[in-house]
Amino acid sequence: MDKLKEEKPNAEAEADFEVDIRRESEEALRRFRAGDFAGKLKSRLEAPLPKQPSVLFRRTVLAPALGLLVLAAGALAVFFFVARSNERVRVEAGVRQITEALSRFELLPLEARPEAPTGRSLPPFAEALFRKGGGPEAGSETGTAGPAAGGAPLRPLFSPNERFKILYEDRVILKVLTAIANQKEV
Amino acid sequence: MSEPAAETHIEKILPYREEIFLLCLGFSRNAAVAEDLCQDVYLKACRKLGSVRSPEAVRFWLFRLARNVCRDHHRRTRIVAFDPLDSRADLAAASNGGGMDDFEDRLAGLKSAVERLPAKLREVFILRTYARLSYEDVARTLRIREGTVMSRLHRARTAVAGMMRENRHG
Repeated sequence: MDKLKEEKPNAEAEADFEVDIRRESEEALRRFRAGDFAGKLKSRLEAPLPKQPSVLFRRTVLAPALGLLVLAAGALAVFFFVARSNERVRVEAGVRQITEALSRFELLPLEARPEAPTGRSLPPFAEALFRKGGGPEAGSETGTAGPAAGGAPLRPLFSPNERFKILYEDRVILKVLTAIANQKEV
Repeated sequence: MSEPAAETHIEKILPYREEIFLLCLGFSRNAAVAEDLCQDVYLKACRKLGSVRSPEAVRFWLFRLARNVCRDHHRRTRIVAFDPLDSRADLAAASNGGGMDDFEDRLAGLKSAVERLPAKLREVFILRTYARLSYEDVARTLRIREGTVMSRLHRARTAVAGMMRENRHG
């Protein structure tokens, strides 16, 4: 019962504002009926529509052209991104292979270096990357080659960064060293 | 659009003009603006009615069109929304007593309360209270279930009543 009493003012307030709304809309509706809505509408419909060539132009020419432009830009961006990624992957793989090849040749005496299956030895320009002797104790790092094996140890002529730079700049050297790196046994 | 087609379209949708006007009144809370909006709704309807296939769907399509027109109008004008000076002046002039003052005052409070309702509740409230649509019609217009209409309407009424009470007490 108490709860009902509490809710009563709320219900009254709801009824109040609904009565107000009805009264307001009745008055507005009376004025609306008094006006000539259909007549006004018909006269507005009969009036010629304003020409809008710019809208037509925008819809038929500008919008499709803009869309195509955006698509082309997107495709180009994707193409360059993929190409760049592929290039990076290829270079990284090449660097890995060449590094392996260099590390093998570095640690072997000249005479112990393998020959290619065709009988060719390491090309002279690849040899230029190394120089003989003067390095650390022969055989101290590999344990497989040294003076006992019949040759002075090889020391890198250039620092690793310099070597890689040379290799990158000269595609021929890069190809040759990659081919050497691909030989199975050292 | 050719003239005969426009005439046919007008005849088809003209019987709903009062409901549409009330709906516009609910959204705009101004009789003159509501009439303009109603005209806009009918102009658009005459141009687009050919796309409505089923004849019984025309009424609800018209309500939806009216709601969209009113929402667009509300969006465009809310930044510069203000109370008309004449109504405030009338209120001040009539402040020496009289029922009209109370009524106008209550209407102003009501306008502010409806304005503060969330959009979903406001739509249901206006369609039901101003346009006087049935629950089923509101549900078909807004493409929601009747239960949802009832629930939203209840929440809207409670909220409006609460705001009106707050206004009255201070």
